[in-house]
Amino acid sequence: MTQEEYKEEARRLRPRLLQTARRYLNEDDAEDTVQDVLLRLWQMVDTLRMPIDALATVLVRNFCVDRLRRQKPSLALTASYEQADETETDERIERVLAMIDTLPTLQQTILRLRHIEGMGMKEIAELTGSSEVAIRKTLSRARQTLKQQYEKRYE
Amino acid sequence: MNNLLRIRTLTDKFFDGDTTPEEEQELYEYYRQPWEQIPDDLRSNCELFRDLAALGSLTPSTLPPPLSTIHHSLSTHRYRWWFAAAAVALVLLVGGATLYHYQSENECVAYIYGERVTDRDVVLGEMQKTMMAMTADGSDVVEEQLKAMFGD
Repeated sequence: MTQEEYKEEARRLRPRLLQTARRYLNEDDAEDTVQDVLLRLWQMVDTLRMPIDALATVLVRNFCVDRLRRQKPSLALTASYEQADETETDERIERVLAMIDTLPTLQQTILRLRHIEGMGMKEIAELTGSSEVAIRKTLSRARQTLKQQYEKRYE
Repeated sequence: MNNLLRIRTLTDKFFDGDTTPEEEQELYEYYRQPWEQIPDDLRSNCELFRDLAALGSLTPSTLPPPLSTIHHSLSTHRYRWWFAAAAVALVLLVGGATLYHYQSENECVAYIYGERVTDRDVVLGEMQKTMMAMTADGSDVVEEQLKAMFGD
């Protein structure tokens, strides 16, 4: 996709993406989330194929979910065991997302689609307009980078 | 032992991007067990797999309903109150208008020497006086009035 095509697509898609984001978030957060997604798509414009509607919509929902999770209130000290488990899960999610955010945008996107949305390779390939082989390679690179980061952190 | 071999193979497949979602679930299950039960060479993967398993729980279905749904139910609730308030307002309006109409139809108004008077007692008193004056010397009054209007 060329930069001009992307600009045109972004202009066309923006109202619909905002509508999706508003289902989860307030007006300001919805605006920020759509902006964030459009920026990430812009960063991988060279790899995108038209149409990008489905990919953009899935990413907006994904980032809305991420933002909602971050907005969850913190737990009181008297939290039950169940809440403590939940806190541990939240910390794990926080940590892995922070590491994912350091990766190149395409790798971030594929990891999110795979591990949060639970999508198969074929589905991701269709969404991004790429081939399954290319998706596997990118996913492999992303996972290996994460592995190295974890090894460094826990050695 | 066979299981361990399978886990090693699946772990390699995972980092090659070749695992299916079911195989990934199998790996998450394996790496969830206590640290001591995992061979040394695989231990370094534990935290990553545990974190990725947690990330998998972050699905839209586990989150609160979208704002639009909440807003919809709130709106429905609010609509009921608005409807009740509108019904009460309508009853008051119709009742008030009917009462006003009834009262204005029975209103006593008279212009006595150019002045508007609405006091029922005063108006009735004036009417009575006029009637009495007419019955006392009615013919003279009429005659005087006719002369005043048409001349002699």
